[in-house]
Amino acid sequence: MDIQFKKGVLELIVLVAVNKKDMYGYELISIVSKVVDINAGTVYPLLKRLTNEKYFNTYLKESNEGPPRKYYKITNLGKERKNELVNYWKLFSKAVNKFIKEGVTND
Amino acid sequence: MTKNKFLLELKKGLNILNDEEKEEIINEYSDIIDEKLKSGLTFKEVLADFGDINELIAEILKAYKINPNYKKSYRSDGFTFLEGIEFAIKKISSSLANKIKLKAEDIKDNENVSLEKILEVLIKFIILMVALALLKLPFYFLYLLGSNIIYFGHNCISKSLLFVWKLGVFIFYIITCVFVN
Repeated sequence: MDIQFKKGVLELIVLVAVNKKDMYGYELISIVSKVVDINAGTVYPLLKRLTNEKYFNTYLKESNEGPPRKYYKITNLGKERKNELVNYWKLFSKAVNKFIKEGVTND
Repeated sequence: MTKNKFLLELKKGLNILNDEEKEEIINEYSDIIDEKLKSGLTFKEVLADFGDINELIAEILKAYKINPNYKKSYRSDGFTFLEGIEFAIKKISSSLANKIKLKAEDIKDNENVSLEKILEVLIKFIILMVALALLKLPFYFLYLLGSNIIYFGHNCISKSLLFVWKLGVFIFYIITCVFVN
């Protein structure tokens, strides 16, 4: 898939995933990469940005192996942003699907 | 490339961030690497998944709203003579320290320190020295040319002029060495 396509929907997918349950970095990467094939390195900068924009809070939690892990938790602002993006996506994909369908029938 | 080396390079690239932030990022990436290795990937595959390390660094810096080209803009800004010397000393020592660190990591990871490795380091050092010596040649000719023009007899003025000229050429040579490195 085109890289710009992936980057565009990455924020939406990450917000939806963290909305479901609090997650740490690698957990998110493995879930997100089931939907879109992304570069593992690019998730961290995105998480940093979403935290800066107050969509996520973070907290540390002990792990069985290694140092404590940083977990991401969605804020109310983050939930609003998620709903907004989900709505955009629905409208957008509906419009594009309709357009493609019409294009195909006119072939 | 090994895990330690990768993390060290990452840290180096993120030098502008404060230690706490850097530590946090390194922990995060270390955890990601460990988990991926546990899932059965080889380190090579994990590395490929991260893509180009410089792009990764640029991407992280962008998340902190830092222009990834900040180093270049610092260089092109005119700086005073003293700042220039300070910058040169810092650059030499940091690049030397990093090279030694990376080499040490390499040797540590390879477990058996082979003669081959040591020779490799030695030859690289000799090549560097020869290159610097060759670089000195044009500056030497420059010095000779200047001194022939300046020198007009045994007097104070021509001697002090000669000294200033020699010093100038020498500083120019040092600066060139720094940028070649």
